[in-house]
Amino acid sequence: MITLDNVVLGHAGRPLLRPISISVSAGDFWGIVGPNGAGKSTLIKTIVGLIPAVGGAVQLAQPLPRFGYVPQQHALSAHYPLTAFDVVLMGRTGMLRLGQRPKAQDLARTHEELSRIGMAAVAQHQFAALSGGQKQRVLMARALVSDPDVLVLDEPTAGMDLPGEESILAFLRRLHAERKMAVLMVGHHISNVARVATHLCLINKDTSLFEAGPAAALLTSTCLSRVYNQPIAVERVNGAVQVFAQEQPHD
Amino acid sequence: MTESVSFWQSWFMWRDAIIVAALCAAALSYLGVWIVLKRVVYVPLALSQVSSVGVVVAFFICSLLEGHRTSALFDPAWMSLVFGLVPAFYFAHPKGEGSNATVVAYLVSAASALLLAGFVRQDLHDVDSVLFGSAVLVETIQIVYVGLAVLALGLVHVFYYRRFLFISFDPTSAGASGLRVYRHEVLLYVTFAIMISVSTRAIGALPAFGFTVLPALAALNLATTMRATFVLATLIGTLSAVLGYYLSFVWELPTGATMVGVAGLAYVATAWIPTRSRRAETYVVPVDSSQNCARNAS
Repeated sequence: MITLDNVVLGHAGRPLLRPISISVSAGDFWGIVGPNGAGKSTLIKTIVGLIPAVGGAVQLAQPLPRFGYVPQQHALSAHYPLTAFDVVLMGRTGMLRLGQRPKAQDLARTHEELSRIGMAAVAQHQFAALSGGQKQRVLMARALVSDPDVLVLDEPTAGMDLPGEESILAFLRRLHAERKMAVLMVGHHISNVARVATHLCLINKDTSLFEAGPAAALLTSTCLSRVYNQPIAVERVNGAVQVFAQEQPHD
Repeated sequence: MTESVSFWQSWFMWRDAIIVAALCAAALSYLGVWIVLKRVVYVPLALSQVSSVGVVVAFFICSLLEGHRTSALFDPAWMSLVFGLVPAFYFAHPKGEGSNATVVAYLVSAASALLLAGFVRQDLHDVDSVLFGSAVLVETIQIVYVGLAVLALGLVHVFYYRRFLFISFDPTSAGASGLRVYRHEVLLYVTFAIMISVSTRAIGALPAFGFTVLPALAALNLATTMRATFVLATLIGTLSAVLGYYLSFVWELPTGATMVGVAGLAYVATAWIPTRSRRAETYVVPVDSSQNCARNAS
């Protein structure tokens, strides 16, 4: 569906990393992890076509896959007088002709996605007044209302409390199982990403490191320690992978 | 009462000016909602200042080409429009959105206009009236210019409203969904540039800037939907222009300043009404102190 063949990521012609290659198929769940400023967002923005690759090409299958993008909820302005319904309906904009008003089908799909994600009760509430978790769900509904082939999430659990994180991850797991769409998720907490992803991209531009492959193969202390440039322990607790940063050894 | 009677008796004198002021106020107040929500309130200032350089350049070239046929090409109205459009392309770009670019454009163009005006062989009062309009008396041709600009603005926004909303609220997601964000931003900023340069010439710089900010802020204090915000802003702007014009006649006040003053009062009045954000407050669930782990442990 998406193939990056020796693609050089970067900004304004300046490369961030050595050339990278990955291949995303329908039904894959990719977790993209790495330290702050490692190039995770640059990778997903390059894949969806928002940032041009410095070298190489992002090859997309024909017909072109449709992307549904979920930004970090706190990156959006709180000043727009928009209801949750308005925000989800925005996801249908690309499907409307110029000047066309949303049809009954668009409104029905919007209601359907809000209900499916458990947000029907707040459909007419101001988006700005929702909690972080509610906003994130509404933004997911907006991405899903366009019936995407690839769902791209930029740190969907950033700034959330534990129950909020858990509900988002459970929803993503269910969604992935039901719809079999490809999912690309940038995450900060590797333990969380490891619970949902089938594949991982480990990225760190500062150490020029990029590894991609099945999650089971990459979730090792050696791999993660290389990416984060410090000792990382990987343990299994009740079947779930837990990742801990360890103290740097002193000289 | 006497002033009121004489105002209506001399209606034929003010008719064009009031029509132009109301049209400009309505269009700028509508655009103001976008400008305020996009947090680019300095852009109208910079655009009107850069387009004023176009007017001075037009006068300067015309004075050089006096008697030549080509001087008709350098009409101040066209030149102000062309100069206003150029920065619109830059401001629409993510790199140009920051306030630094707009402030630099404002300062450099203000200095350029002043420096160049010294070389213009025309009465400075004439240049000033073309540059900033008077809002008191306007030429009938201004109704045509403003009317055409409002028509173009209306058509573009009817067709592109939903796309403008998506790219303004969340440009990254809009881009990922396949919308060409920069192209749509340019189109939106071009409508700002056209309306601001035409309005600055017709009603003056102060009211043009005032109408792009105050009615939108007042409407955002009251409205809970985008549609209501646009309708309220347009109404507040239009009423401020008409009422301001009337009051300036009755009380013999400067017209542009009175119109802005009325719009300012509308903003202050709406600030006293419980606002959308206050109505939309989220509620925090009170914590039961008996469930406090630290207390139970101790």
